[in-house]
Amino acid sequence: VIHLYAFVRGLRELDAGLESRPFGRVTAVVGREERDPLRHGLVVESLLGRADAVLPVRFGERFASEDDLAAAVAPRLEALEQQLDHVAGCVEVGVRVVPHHDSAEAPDGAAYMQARLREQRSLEFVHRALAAHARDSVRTSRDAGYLVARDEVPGFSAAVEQLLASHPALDVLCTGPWAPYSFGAAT
Amino acid sequence: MSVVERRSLADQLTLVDLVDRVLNKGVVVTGDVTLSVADVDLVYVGLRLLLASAATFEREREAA
Repeated sequence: VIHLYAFVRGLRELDAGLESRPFGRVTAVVGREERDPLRHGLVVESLLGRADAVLPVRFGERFASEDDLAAAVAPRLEALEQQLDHVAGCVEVGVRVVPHHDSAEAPDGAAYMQARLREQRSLEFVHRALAAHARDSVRTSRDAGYLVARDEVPGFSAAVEQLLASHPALDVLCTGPWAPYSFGAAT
Repeated sequence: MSVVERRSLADQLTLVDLVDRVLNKGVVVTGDVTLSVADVDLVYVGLRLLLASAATFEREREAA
């Protein structure tokens, strides 16, 4: 079984147990069967410092043979190339609402909805303020991801700190920098 | 809340974040997890059920 970790460009080195498979301008990083999602994540994160562009693959992409892998990648090469261009030199910073007064602990339905609404509004407010500091951004109902050039991370962090300092009631948590998981939409 | 408790809360949320990323985000080239070898795949299915995040659950409900 071949386990697919990520697509990369400008790969400089690989840990033992990992191999690269070039497909034109796109390189796939593969290994043998991987059953641990956490290890998958750690391998992907370790690639960040070892390649110019890293496009993480969701856990669970496994192939019976080299031919199967090539057949799955071939029709998506163009999209993968564009996505690698998009994330080159960038990391992802995650922002999520910390349920301080947890909606899950709400005594009744109305309190729950109000707590959820507060979380949503916090995230919307933060998202509007931070999107301007990122190359790209993705928002879901509970969290947001920001694509930030590696050397712009300190500036982005400063923007977050400034935002939190001027709005002490905000309950948000900044995580990362991560490999840019949110910027490789299903192709 | 003490500093240590805050710290451990942050660590937990970060771990949740990593698992959430690995299972719910990232490029998919096969369409879904390959379900070809029954004894192994039960492990995968179990993991995905256990760890599928509230966010995905909500997204799927919204889409449905």
